Amino acid sequence: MASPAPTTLVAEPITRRLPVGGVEVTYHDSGAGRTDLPTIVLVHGTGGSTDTHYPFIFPMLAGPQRVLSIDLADPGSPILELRQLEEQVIGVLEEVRADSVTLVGYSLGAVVATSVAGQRSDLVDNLITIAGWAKTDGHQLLRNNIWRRTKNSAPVACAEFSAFTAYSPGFLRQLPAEYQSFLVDAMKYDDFGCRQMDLNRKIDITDLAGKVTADTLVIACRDDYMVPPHHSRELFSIIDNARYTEVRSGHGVVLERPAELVHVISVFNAAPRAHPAGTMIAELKP
Amino acid sequence: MIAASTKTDPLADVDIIIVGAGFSGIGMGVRLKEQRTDSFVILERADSLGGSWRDNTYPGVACDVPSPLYSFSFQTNPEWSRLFAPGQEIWQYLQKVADDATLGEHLRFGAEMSSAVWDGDSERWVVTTTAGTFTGRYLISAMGHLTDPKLPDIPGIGEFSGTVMHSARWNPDVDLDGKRVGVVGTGASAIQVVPSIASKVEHLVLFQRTAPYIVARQDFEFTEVQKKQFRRDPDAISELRQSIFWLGEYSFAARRLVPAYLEEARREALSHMQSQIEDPLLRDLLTPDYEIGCKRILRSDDFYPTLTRDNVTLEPSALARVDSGRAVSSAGRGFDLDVLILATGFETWDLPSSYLIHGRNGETLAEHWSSGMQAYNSTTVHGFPNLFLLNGPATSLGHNSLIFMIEAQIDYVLGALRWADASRRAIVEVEESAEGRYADLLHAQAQETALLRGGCDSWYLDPRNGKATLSWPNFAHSFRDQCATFDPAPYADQAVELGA
Ligand SMILES: Cc1cc2nc3c(=O)[nH]c(=O)nc-3n(C[C@H](O)[C@H](O)[C@H](O)COP(=O)(O)OP(=O)(O)OC[C@H]3O[C@@H](n4cnc5c(N)ncnc54)[C@H](O)[C@@H]3O)c2cc1C
Repeated sequence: MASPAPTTLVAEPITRRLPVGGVEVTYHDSGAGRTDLPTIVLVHGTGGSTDTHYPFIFPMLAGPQRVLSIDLADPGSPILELRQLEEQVIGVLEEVRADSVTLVGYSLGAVVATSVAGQRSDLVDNLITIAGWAKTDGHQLLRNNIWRRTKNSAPVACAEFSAFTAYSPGFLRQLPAEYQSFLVDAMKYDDFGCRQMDLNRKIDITDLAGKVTADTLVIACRDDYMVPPHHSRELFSIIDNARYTEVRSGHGVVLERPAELVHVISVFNAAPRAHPAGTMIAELKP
Repeated sequence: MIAASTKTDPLADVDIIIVGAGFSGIGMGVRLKEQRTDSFVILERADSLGGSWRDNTYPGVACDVPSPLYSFSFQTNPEWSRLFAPGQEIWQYLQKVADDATLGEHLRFGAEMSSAVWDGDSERWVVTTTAGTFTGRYLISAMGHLTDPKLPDIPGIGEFSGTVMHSARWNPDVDLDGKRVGVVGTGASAIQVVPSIASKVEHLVLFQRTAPYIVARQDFEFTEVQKKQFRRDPDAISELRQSIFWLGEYSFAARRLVPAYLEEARREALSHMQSQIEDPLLRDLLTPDYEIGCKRILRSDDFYPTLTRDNVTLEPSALARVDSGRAVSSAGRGFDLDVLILATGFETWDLPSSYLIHGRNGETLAEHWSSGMQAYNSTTVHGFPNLFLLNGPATSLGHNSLIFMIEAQIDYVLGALRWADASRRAIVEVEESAEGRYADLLHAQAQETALLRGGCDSWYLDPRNGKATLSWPNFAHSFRDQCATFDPAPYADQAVELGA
């Protein structure tokens, strides 16, 4: 008996390119959803892309709702500014003009999304931040310093340190050794990624976050050593219209607990106001 | 059998009649007790509770969802001996759950329901059993969907000279030592039975119609220290339950045919097989010819090695007939056997219990479902007022714990009961259109999964309509998210005010 011919997804996403501020931004579009739920727009984190940060979440959220995912493009300037990334997200949102949008950002993407929501309430109906932050603090700088000092001089230690801080102890301890080295090997930063790491050092969107009016869900990761939950709790306090929930995961939640993120995002997108602003939403206890 | 009298039974006339004392019926009872509802009876045809775990006592029987998760959220168990607890232990657990909630006074054993009839005049269900007649305002069917053994129609089996038994009706008195034994089927039960008996039989022939996908099981014993931690720190169990649950949910991406995850799942299963089987011919016979996830993905570390034993023969075709005492496969090979074990599964898409329940106008559920079963929110059926089905249509899962599904349904039922009481409704009956829309939505979702696109014929499929009517075609968490909270909208118009 031979193996069967590979079965494929019912609907393949469409990839589009859009010129914004002199660069070409790529975004992926799952196509229309089965219902009239808000369109979800995903923005990845530092050094990521739709492929590396949303391989699970993008296809699994698609179906009931339309999902778009943006691959942030390298503007090419020696110093990366937050504004350049915001423009790209705004460009896509203006191009797409969906009836209703839930903007979802992860890590640095959450910073971008929050900032966009603070400036353009006309484009963002609902906001979800995953492991986001408002203002870089000393703890983050220390980690960033170690990363900087080792990235060229001790690249293996740098990758190991990145994996060590990216995943929760509970996740790492149960991984077979070969998976662990796979995760370590994946910790690579290209030029654009390195400039995103530099940008991470000087984030302060406190004022803009305070202007967010969208119905917001702040998702923190309990065991996050890159952006510890205190940052999300801060966002939850800055954004008036925010709810808060915590996932038992490290920063790499998009790979560690992607199904739980799908749950949290789907529930919020189906009824953003189900919990009033200010609620700390309990986790699902299976 | 003489029908016992219920004249003296204080629970002969109650608010709620639950039929079936497996995980569903017991879970429902415990939650009712917790709400201080006492007017209910649980009818069970057998002489003890336990359902699947009472009935399945074949060698090697165990769960294939890790036990810390395969247990109620409201009563986790620090005492599991191992990751995949043996059936006997699960049975004992369920008994303890019932005992701790003092369900004993509500249980009626040896009470096999032969019919349940909706009486429109009194607006009550009339349930006839081998232990007398019971009446109730609500009927909760908890009769399971892997309950009634499915016996394959094998010509000549009646003349088989040896012993025939179904895996779910194991007879411990049948001696297998030194016997020639045939096992029919390669599903979840067969792959547990085969390694458990192979070393004691003289020869074992396994009739395989379709090869299953099997992944490593990686079972282990919990240490005393781990159990102590579970006892002292309840969050340690929560933490473990969550990680098992979300890992199970992760595996749904393959079933939804997302290419990278499908490939990962296929590779995991095939490399497990290849690491345990060297013979290229045997590898070939054990390579499934359908997409992974179409049938239940099985877990075993000892099934493949058992097939390489000298006294085990893999017959790559079904058992077709018995010819003057000889078992003959559909490929035409004959075997002289002393015992035939039918590990052929259960009646799934055409539930025997559905023939017993009569709704408005006397129509049975089976008649109502003549072209396939369906229920709104997997729980209620138009034309069957005040009936709730637990673990019935569209609740089965290939990738996570059924108890999670059952608990979500129990929450839904409790919500419905509360609504009926609060709004003084005598009748809870779902609109026909809502039931149809729900079924259509599920079918649309199933069409995006390996269930319907995997190129296999499975027990999840109803041959009458080609739909996967038994299965919930989505993440398990979506069932809770979408179906656990009672929304009266599709019931409101059907409802009649109490006393109106
Ligand atoms: C061998 C085996 C292993 C399994 N392993 C797993 C696993 O690992 N993970 C998982 O999620 N699921 C597993 N399952 C599925 C399992 O069936 C469910 O998880 C769960 O036990 C179902 O509980 P239930 O109460 O709904 O049904 P059941 O356990 O089937 O209970 C139904 C009860 O109703 C009674 N009954 C039926 N008809 C009547 C009648 N007319 N009158 C009175 N009483 C009646 C029956 O006697 C029975 O006691 C397994 C099933 C089997 C058979």
